[in-house]
Amino acid sequence: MPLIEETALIEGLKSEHHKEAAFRDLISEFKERLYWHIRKIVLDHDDADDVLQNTFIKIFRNIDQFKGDSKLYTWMYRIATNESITFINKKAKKMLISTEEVQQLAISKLETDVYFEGEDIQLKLQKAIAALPERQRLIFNMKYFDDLTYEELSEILETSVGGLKSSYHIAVKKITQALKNETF
Amino acid sequence: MTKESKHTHGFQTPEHYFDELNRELVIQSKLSELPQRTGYTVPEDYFSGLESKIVGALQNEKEQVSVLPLFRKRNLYYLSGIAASLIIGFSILNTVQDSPVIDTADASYYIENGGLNLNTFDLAQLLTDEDISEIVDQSDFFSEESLDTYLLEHFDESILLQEE
Repeated sequence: MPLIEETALIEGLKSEHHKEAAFRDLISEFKERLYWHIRKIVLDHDDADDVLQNTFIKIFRNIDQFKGDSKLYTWMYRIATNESITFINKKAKKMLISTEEVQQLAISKLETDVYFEGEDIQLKLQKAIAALPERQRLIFNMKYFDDLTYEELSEILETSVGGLKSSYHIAVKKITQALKNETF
Repeated sequence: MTKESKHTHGFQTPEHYFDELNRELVIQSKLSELPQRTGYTVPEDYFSGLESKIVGALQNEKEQVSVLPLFRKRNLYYLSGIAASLIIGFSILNTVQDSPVIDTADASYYIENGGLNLNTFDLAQLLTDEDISEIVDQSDFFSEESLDTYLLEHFDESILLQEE
């Protein structure tokens, strides 16, 4: 999104008269990117839908805290990431299981999920991603599927570029190894 | 074998450039074997009605009665206790047979919405020293587990999202 449009959108969100219209524009502009980002974390469509709504509501309520030091979408990605992780933590708490078990449970449902039309290799890839530690999983998804730069990832996850590169490299190695072994 | 060059070109690379290049090439060669798409799909027309759905959800939230934050919850216990005492006292003293019955939930709602305008001083006047020490002594007023659950449900991560 061009900088000039982003500035206008933020001004609209902060003004009383244009707030709702600007909010609708914001949703239109970012709904798909944020949805897919969230979906890759929570895996289930209905859960992703809930988290997406919460994310946009949180963005709307906290727009005054956005000072423009980072790009708007990296700030929103950060909110979406936090909302998704919080959602999984709550789910784990309710089900009295660990967050890793929540992930494995979601993955085990993929084969029968009507909103997953992946081929065998895609299912295997998702299983391999789900087996990664949370941080590596986030980094891999955002780098590989969303094609974000390390600099953007650094803003979202508040981690150094060097650390991100190492984590991504490790994640890729683990995934390719898992796909070769097919032991997951 | 490296051949000594007669002329230096003067160009330089960033530190560790060739190490990183090597690592990137390894990653790229491994990634070329992976599928490009996740396989996830969404219901038909899911994205087309999303703006209205989210704006509607926001408006619904605004209309809901706000929840008291944790630090005021203790006051609510005091107030509910006092309200219950007042109701019991009132019901004993009141001899009118047709008086309406008020349950604790109604009283709590009434107090929560500012119906009973008592300040801390008023509350202190109504409680005996024994009552206060009993409440203060209850160190397990909130268990660690209930506090944990409360924070998971109500903690606003946006505090952590502030840029500075």
